[in-house]
Amino acid sequence: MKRLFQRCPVFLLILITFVLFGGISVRGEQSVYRNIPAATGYAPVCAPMFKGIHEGIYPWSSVDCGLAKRENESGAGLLKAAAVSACDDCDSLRADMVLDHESPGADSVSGNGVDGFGSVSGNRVDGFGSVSGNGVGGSGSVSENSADGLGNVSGNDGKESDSLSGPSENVSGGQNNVLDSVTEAPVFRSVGEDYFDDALFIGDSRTVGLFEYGRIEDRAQFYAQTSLMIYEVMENPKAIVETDDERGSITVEEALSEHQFGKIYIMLGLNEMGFGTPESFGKAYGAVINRIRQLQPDAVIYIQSIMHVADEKNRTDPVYNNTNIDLRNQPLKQLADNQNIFYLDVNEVLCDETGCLNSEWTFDQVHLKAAYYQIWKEFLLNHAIVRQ
Amino acid sequence: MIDRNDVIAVFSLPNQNVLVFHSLEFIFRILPICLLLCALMPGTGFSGILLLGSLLLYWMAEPSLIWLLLAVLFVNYMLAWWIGCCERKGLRRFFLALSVLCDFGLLFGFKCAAFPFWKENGAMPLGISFYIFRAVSYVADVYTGQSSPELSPFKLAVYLYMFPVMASGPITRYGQISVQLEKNMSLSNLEKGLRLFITGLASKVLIADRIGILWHEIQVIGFESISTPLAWMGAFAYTLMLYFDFSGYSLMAVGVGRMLGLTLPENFHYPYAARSFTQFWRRWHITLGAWFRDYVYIPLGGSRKGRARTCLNLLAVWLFTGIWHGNGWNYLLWGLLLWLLLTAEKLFLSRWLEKHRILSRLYMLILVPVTWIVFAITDLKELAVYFTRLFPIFGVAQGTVNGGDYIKYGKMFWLLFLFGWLFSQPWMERWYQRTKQNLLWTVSLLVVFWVCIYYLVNTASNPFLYFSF
Repeated sequence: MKRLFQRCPVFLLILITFVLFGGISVRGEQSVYRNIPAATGYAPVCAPMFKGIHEGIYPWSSVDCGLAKRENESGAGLLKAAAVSACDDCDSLRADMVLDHESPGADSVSGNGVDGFGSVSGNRVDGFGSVSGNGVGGSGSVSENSADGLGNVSGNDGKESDSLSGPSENVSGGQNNVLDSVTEAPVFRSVGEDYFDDALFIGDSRTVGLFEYGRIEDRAQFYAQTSLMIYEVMENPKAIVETDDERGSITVEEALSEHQFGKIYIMLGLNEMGFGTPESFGKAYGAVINRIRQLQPDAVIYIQSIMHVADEKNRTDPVYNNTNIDLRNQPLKQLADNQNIFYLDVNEVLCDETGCLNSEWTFDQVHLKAAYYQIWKEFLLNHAIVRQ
Repeated sequence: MIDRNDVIAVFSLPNQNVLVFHSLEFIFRILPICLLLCALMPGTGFSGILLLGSLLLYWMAEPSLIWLLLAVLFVNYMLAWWIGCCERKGLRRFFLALSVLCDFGLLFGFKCAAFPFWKENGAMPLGISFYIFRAVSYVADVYTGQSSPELSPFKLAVYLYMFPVMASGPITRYGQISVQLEKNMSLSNLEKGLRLFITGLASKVLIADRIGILWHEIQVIGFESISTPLAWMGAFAYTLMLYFDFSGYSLMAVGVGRMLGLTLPENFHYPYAARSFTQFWRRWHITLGAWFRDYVYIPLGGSRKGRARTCLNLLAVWLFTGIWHGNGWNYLLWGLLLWLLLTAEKLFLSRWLEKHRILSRLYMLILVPVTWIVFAITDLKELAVYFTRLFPIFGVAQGTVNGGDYIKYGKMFWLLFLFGWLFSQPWMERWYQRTKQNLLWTVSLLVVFWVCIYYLVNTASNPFLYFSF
C-alpha cells in the first residue's frame, strides 16, 4: 500500500476523496441535500455535496440547518443570501422549518411562493409589523404565520388581502394624495433631467447598467444590485445601500425609512422567473409596493415593465422568454392605481417590431449595451408625472 | 449508483461533452471507463479497444458524420498505399496531389458551407481541421519517404482518430504514434498523466473561464462605450483567456494520452515569456506551427531561395494560418499582421530585440494583445471601434463612456490578472521539477482538482473556444 501511494499519490487520493464525497452525497441525499435540485444533464455522484457547499450547506452542517435552508429557499424562492445569513442562528431557522411544515399547501407550486414568502421572512415580518406599528403575532401564531406576514404588510387596517388588486386598493383608499388628474389614464409629461433630482431607482443588473451608463448617477439615487429579486428587495442584507456612517451598508427597508424621495422607479422580475408563478410574483410585488407606499407616502411610484429579452434568447430559452415575461408583466399592470402608482412599459421603446429587445442594442440578449441606456432614460423623462 | 437518467444523459445524442475534457461526463464517466477498459485489455488488443472507443465517442458527439471518418480514412489509406507501391515519380506526385485535393476540398467545403447535408449554422464538424491535417501529414510523409505506408487500416485509424487528440489536437505525426501502439500503461504513467490533466483542467476552469468573464462583460457594455484603460484590460483578459483555454486543453489532451501510456507532443511552451514574435510562434500551438513549417514553408523553398522568396513563402504560410483559424476577414487580417511583424523581425527587428531585454518585453506586452484583438473580433466595424478605444488618437468614443469603469473591473479581476501572468511564466514549472516529490504538490493538486469540480458542478461549462474550427 505504501509503495502504491508512493507511485501514484494523487490518483489514490482522488480515488479516496471521490468515494468519501460520494458517500457524503449519497447519505445526505435523503436528508441535508434532499431539496438540492437534480442536475439537468449528467452529474457525478458527488455533485450534491458541491452544490450544497455552493448554497452554504457544508458536509458538517447539521441536518436540520441544511434542510431548513433548502426548504426556505425552495419554498420562498428566496435568494440564498437571505437564507445564508439567516442560518447564523439555526434555532430561528428550525422554527421556520416547523412553520413551513405546518402551513397547508406548502407543496403546491402556487402556494409555495406566497406561503414561503411569509415563512422565510417570518422573523423579519415581525420586524415589519413593529416598524409600521400594527404588530401582528408574526411567528408567534404558527398556523397563521405566512398569510399574516403578507396581510400585515399590505393592509394598513390589518385586513388580509388575497386578491391581486387588493393591495393597491387598500393603499389608494387609505391615502388620498391629490393629483393633477384623478381620471383613469395618467397624464404623462416630458420633463428635464432635474426631474431625477429626488428620484430613486430600485432594480437588478439592468438598473445597475442605468446607474453606470444613464448619466444620471449624480442626480438620482440607485438601490440596485445584480440578481436582486422582489422577494428579498426590502431586507436583503447584501450591501445595496451604502451609508457614510459606521453601519457601512443598510437594507432598502432601512434606507427608505431614513430618506424621503419624490419618485421611486422599480424594475424587477427577470431573476424571479425561475421561482413561483405570475400570481405569487404579483402578490409579492404588491406587498413590496405597499410597504414602499407606507414608508414613502409622498412619492410617485413607477412600476416599470420587466424588459423583454432579444429574439434569439426568446426563441431558445424555456424560462427567460418574452411570453413568460409578459405573463408576469400582467399583474404588475394591475398594481397601478394611476394616482400614486404608475405602470410604465419600457418595452414600447426598447423593442423592435417583433416585440423583442432590439438585438442591435444588446450583446447578451438581456442587457442593453451602454450606449442605449439613453433611450430608456429618455422614455422615463417623456413619461413623467408632475404633481402640482 | 448508475441510474436511468445518467444513462440517458450520457447517451443523449449528440452530446459533444463526451469529447470535452473539462466536462463532468468526461472526467467521471468516459475517462475512467476508457482507462479501465484499456487497462484490462491484454496488450495485443490495446490499439483495437482504443480505436473502438474513439469511434464510439465520436459517434456520440457527432452522430451524423461518422461515415466521413471512414471516407477520409479510406481515401488516404489507399492513396498512401499507391504512393508507396508506385515507382514513377509523376504518378506518385499525382496521388499526393489527389489526396491533398480531397482532404482540403473537404475542409474548405465545410468552411464555406458548400455541402447541402451539413447545415449546422456555420459550425465545423467536430475535429475536422485536426484530423484532416493529420491525414495530410501522413500522406506527405509517405511521399517523402519519412514513413512507410501503413498496411493496417486499423492502425492508421488509431493515428487519425484516437480520442485524446480527436477534437482539438495536438496535431500528431504518424511517425510519433506508429511506434507507440504497443500497450504501455503503468501506474507511474497514470500519475504523471493525471497531474498534467489536473494542471490543464485548472488552467481552463480556474483561470480561462474566470478571466473570460471580463471579456464577456466588455462585449455586454459594447466596445463603443469602454474607456481606454478598460479596452486594454479587455485585450489582456482575452490574451490570457485564449492562452489558458487552449494550453489548458492541450495539457489535458497530453495528460489523457499519458494516462493511456502514449507520449503526445507538447503544444505550448510558455509563449508569453517570448521576447519576439518569431520565438512566440515557436512556442504557441507548436504542433500547428511545425505542420505549416514542414508541409507549406519548406516545400515552398523555405528561406533557401533568397530574401524576397522567403517573404513570399512566409506570406503563404500566414494567410493559410489565418484561413485555418476561421471564416471571417479578420482572420486574414490577423494573418497579414503577423506576417508583417515576422517579416520585420526577420529583416531587421530581431537583432535589435535581442539586445534590448526590457524593450523587447514591452514590445511583446503591447503587440501580442493587439494581434489577439484582431483575432478575437470577427466584425470588422466592431474591430475598428475597438481600435479607437485602444488608441484614442484614432477617434473619439461614439457610445456612453463611464470613465471609472476600469476601476470597477480592476477591483474585480486584479487577482486573476496576477495569477494569469504568474502561471504564464516558466518559473512555476522549474520549481515543480525540482520539488515534485514534495507532499505539498500532491495535496495542492488534489485540492485544485476538487475546486475545479466545484466550479464545474456549479456552472454550466462553456464549450471550448477552438471546437468550431
